[in-house]
Amino acid sequence: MTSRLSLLLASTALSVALGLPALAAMQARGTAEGLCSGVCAAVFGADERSAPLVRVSGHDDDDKKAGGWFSRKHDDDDDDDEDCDDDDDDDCAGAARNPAPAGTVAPPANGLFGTGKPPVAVTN
Amino acid sequence: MKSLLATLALTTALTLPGLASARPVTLTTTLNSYGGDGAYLALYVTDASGAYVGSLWMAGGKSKYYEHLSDWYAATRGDLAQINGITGASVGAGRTLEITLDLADALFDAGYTLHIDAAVEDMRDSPNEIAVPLTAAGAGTPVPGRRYIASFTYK
Repeated sequence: MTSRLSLLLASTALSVALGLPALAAMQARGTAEGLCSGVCAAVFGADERSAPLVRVSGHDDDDKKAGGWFSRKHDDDDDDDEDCDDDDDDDCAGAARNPAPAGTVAPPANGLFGTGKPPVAVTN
Repeated sequence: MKSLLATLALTTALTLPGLASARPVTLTTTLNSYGGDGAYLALYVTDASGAYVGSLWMAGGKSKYYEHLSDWYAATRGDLAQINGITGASVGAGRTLEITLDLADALFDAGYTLHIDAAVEDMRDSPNEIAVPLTAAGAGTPVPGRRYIASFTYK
């Protein structure tokens, strides 16, 4: 019981310690806004407006074809799933553009598979 | 009755050579611990003149990365029909991919070569990392790769 009370007391004290300066700052700002106009209003009002979104990173081509695999960073999902929820992923127009996984259709009739039986793969 | 027997004889005659002309083969590819993401691997066969014959397996399901398997891509122009039904997941570093298939007998000791192209995200492409002639004598002999593949064996 005592420990619960002390815990409660400690958390309250922490909240007050953190909350009071913030509250004081908000009040000070309100006072300052009330006192000044023009530049002050512009300064204080600046963060009221929504800041324009600036794209700092995108799907630029700089990292592509640099002698190796281009970045798949825009597509952080697992290699082999088929989700195409990236709107800007122009390579992901649908599963039809990926090959049919093993076991879903017959292997190609390329003459290599003697009996036409599909291969079976296991990764250890 | 006679026609039934004749049909049976004909189908048996057609089927038996087919069964006899294939052998079960296990292709084992062990990757190095190269410290990257899963590798895309294309396993395919060329004839004695180096012409592409067909694909045996594609490890990695997203076609947009196939251009990094550059020799396979050059030979097939990325034609997905070549790998429909023989495509599986990419293979993680340090792991072993084991493919069991019935390979046509005619491929052995006839100048055919099995190739593996490899590619890993943000790492160098490795076309033709493995090129091993398909011979009866070579079965079971491990072949080292250059970059991502520690060893490849068929038997």
